[in-house]
Amino acid sequence: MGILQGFLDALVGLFNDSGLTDLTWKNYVMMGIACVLLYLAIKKQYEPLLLLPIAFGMLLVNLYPAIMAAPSTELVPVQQYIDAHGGEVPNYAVTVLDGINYYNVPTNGGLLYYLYQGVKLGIYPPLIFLGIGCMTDFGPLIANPKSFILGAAAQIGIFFTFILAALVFGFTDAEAGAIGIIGGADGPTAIYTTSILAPHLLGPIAVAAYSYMALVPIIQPPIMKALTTKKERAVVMTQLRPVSKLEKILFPIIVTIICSILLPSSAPLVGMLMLGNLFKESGVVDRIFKTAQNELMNIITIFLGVTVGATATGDVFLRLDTLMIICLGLIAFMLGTAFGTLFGKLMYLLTGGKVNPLIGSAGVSAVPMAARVANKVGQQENPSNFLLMHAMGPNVAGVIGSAVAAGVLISVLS
Amino acid sequence: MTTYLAAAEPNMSVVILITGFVVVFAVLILLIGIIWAYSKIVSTAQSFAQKRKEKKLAKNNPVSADVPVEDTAPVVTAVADSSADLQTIAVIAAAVEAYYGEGKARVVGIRPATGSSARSQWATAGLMESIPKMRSEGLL
Repeated sequence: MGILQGFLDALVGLFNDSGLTDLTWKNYVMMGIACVLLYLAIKKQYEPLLLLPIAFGMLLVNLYPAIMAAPSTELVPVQQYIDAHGGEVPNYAVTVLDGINYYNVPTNGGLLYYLYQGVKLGIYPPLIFLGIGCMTDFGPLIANPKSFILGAAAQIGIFFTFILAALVFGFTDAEAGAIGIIGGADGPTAIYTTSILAPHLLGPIAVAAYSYMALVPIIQPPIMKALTTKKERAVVMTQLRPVSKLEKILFPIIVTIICSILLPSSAPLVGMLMLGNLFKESGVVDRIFKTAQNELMNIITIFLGVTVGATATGDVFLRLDTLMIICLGLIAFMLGTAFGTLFGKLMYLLTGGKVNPLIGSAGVSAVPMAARVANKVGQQENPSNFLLMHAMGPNVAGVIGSAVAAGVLISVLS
Repeated sequence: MTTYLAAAEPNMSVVILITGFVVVFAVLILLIGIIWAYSKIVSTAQSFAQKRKEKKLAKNNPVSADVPVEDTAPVVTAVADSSADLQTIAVIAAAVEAYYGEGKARVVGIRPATGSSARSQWATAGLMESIPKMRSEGLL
């Protein structure tokens, strides 16, 4: 009888500890959303390298919220603690409550809490930028520096969305800045800026930023087509001049110096991006170049993806604010694409039809997806037109542009 | 800057909007100027160095300077001397034949794609993405 009772008590204890009693309807909704994101990542292959870990982190934290729990202290009566530990007297602080002495016994945080510190302290985004720098060829931008204008134009969406979020939707200026940066279509920049300006919005903003990056091929083409004519989309651009190795080596050094002097807040992002690029172009640090673009990048992507996903708990995510952030993020992204394309049109007019305005849309970062979309839309009008290399100029300019825009927002708002 | 903005609270958002526009465009336009300038300097310096090198070469070897290099050194002959190179050529020829179909293509020369004729990785990626589509549409 005693054994049976013990068995039943154990079962009841297990049931009480299980998610079946702890979880709320919000957690189940979030699990549903996580499964949809997993479907998009695996079946539709929308940015799977990021979407898959994000979605799984989201699933995990809603199944077991304690995995993101911060370390805390537990109050244990002094005598009870000593009895349970064979008379050992620990070195913990003592709190007195109602005349009883309690030890402040520290408890460990959840696994993802510790990994999340890399996001919270702004460590992962610059390291991701290091890897991106290793993988980026700035040749098209050096060959055609005017692309910087398109990279700047596509950042206009950030600032318009900032105004919208602050004045219409009632977010604070710091929150509005963090929301606006989604328009840069650059996940690491969005996370870095948000971790400084509005850390409490990190989950929704990161999920929105990466989701829209994944949805570039769906969001951008209708805007690009609406703002350009068939004739403009069919423009074949002339071959870019070859860029010498010396120019490619000087580029990251010069950009780092200029950006860091003029806008020190952008130094962690721009500096790491350019360091990665210097690894690549210098050709003398092959081992660390390969590590930065492969192993390091992959490890950080896993940590970043899973922990960012793990910030999206039901309580944080299923709020009106989150829906507004997602809507504003979409607006920011669409405005960025629109302004990039419109500036592309302006360059088309100023150059007498030599620039295909579609490459302007690649000014939103999202490397190289946005450039590939510009190439694809161009080929729908003229299948023998290869815009990819031309679009890479504004595309990589957009990475620098969004880092500069982030620097401006951080300087002004933090 | 923060102090100034805090004082101008009602118009802060508009001030940030204008500041953002101006600073982002100013920094990137400055970069355009700098890249343009250093590209000019680098290319001028490199062409100057190249000319000096050619001059020096011509001075040391006046006979070879009279004969253009292209006329005397066909690209394929230069690489076809060793058996290893012959094997490489055979592999390339087999790959070309496998791609286009037997007897549908003929390799007439092989030379390294370097300098101005080299296609960048992005251009190659574009080509790789476009060719299957163009083929399926009957354009190739």
